[in-house]
Amino acid sequence: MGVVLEIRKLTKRFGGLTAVLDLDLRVNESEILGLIGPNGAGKTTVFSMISGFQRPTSGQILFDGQDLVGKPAFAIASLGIARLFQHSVLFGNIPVLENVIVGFHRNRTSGLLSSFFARKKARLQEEEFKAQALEILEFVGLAGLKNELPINLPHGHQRLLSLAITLATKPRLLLLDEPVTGMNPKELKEMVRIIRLIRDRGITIMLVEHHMRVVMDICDRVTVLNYGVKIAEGTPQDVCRDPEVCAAYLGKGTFGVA
Amino acid sequence: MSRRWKLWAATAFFLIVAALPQLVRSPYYVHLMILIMMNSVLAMTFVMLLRAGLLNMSMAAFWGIGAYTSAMLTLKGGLSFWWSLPASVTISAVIALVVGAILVRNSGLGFIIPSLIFAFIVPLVFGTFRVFGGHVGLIRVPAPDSIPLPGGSALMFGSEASYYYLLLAFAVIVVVVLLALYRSWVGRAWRAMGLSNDLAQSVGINLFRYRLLGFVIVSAMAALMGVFFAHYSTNIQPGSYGPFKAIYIQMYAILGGIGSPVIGPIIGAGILTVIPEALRVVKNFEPMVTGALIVLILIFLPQGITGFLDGRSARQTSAYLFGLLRGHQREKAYSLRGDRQALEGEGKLGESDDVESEAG
Repeated sequence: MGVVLEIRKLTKRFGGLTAVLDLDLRVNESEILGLIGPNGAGKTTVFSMISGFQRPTSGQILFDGQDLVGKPAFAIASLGIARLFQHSVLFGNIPVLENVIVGFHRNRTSGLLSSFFARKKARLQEEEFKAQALEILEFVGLAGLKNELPINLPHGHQRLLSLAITLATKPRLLLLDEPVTGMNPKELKEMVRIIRLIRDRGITIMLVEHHMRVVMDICDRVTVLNYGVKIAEGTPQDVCRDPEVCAAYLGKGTFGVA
Repeated sequence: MSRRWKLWAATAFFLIVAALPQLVRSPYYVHLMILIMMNSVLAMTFVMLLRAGLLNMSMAAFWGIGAYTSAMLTLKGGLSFWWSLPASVTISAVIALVVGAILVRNSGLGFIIPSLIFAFIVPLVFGTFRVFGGHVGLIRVPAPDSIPLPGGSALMFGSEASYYYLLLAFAVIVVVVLLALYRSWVGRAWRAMGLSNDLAQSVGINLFRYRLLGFVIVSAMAALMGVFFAHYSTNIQPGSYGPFKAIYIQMYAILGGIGSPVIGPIIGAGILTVIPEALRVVKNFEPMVTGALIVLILIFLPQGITGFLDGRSARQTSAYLFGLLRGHQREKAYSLRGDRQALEGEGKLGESDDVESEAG
């Protein structure tokens, strides 16, 4: 099992505040790695640094052995790292299907001029992308809504559409930032099912989530952050029993738990 | 509207526009139509960049750069119009490439303010340096050389109508290029950037490159209009190319409605070119009255005129569609998942499931 992403001594400071400190992390191929921790632990900051939206203060992020630090967000996306934002970011005023097609940006092979003159190759590719976008929408269960505008969709569907867009980029590594937060139980089950299916297709997933049942259920391994420092790592069961993790989540000794 | 309908409507519109100088013989009205067409094109290019998320105040400056470059090349360089035209557009595009590389690093105010500053600087440069004729500007910019026709006669440039057709040719080129761009990958990337920078980046769109491409293209188009205007009006003053023009271009676009990239600018430019002309009777009060009218229009039609027209039909359709399709389509969406969930009612979801059963 190869290592997809390796993070070494990653540190991020905002002025005097240290959001992430000396984090070491490995993500293996085709696994779901959970990244959990109390609010403000630095989980989203880690995602932002991997995806190039924030620049680390120091440290290395290696994707297939290639250092990502200093690369702009679009370049990192082009390497095959897709990010599902914490809040649904969508192209609100264009139809659902078009939203997904935009996601194919990095996979186009027809050149600018070919596309400009609507040459046969570009047209064929357009058709191809449309078909693939429909397939993805069917996969996440939104095919029937392909002509709707995303702003008219309920929260759960917006999340699924965000996910569909990230899938359209054909990522190798998927960063999911709180995919099920705010979902009703039905939507949540659907999302969990889909995340599993994505992993089964061989896409490596990093997951930030507060919904513990989901984390325990689908993650192969879990890393726990507290105040930007890694305090535990292992299988969900091991991590759950770790006294330091309990302390971080619940406070120390308050409940007198053995 | 279906594609075929659009094509028919566009053809009909083009034929009417092409026939206008034959119907309206008065040179003054042809002159007015020339101004409308030129302003429409400027507004169209403005809309294009606005849709990519950049509110560009430097359109008027590049319009001026095109005009001055061509005037200099023909007056001082002795080039014919037909050589000066591509040369001026190319030179303007190169200037846009350099200026754009600095400006488009940011969007939002970080772009608007610097582009506005550029719009202030350019006419100052033209007005200050003796080479450019100072505040008086450049006079006697030559007319385009006549085009020899196969029959032995020649197409002369002198009458308003002849310039009208020259501009029409330019405008058609610009519209065709714009529509092709909107339809291409670039257009899609622009639209994505205009809606969300973050998401656009995270699907791999290089914001800087696409913004710069857009900036250079619209600047070159504005320069093309400038070249035309310099040779049409035969004398050019720095004042015409100042920030006021930039604001006017913006108003053409917003009044027309930025939702439709071609029709909106034509309507907006049409109204805002005619109103000031019609208000000549009130002399110095003209800008005040024009301003008041614009404010009123924007209060009552915030989406612009095309947005208003669209919105109405859209609302009528949606009242029908929402009731009819939404419910149906939702059902369909669920059943497409092809799992049990679709068959279960909303209420019977308590069945055992790997996630839910571990609750508690």
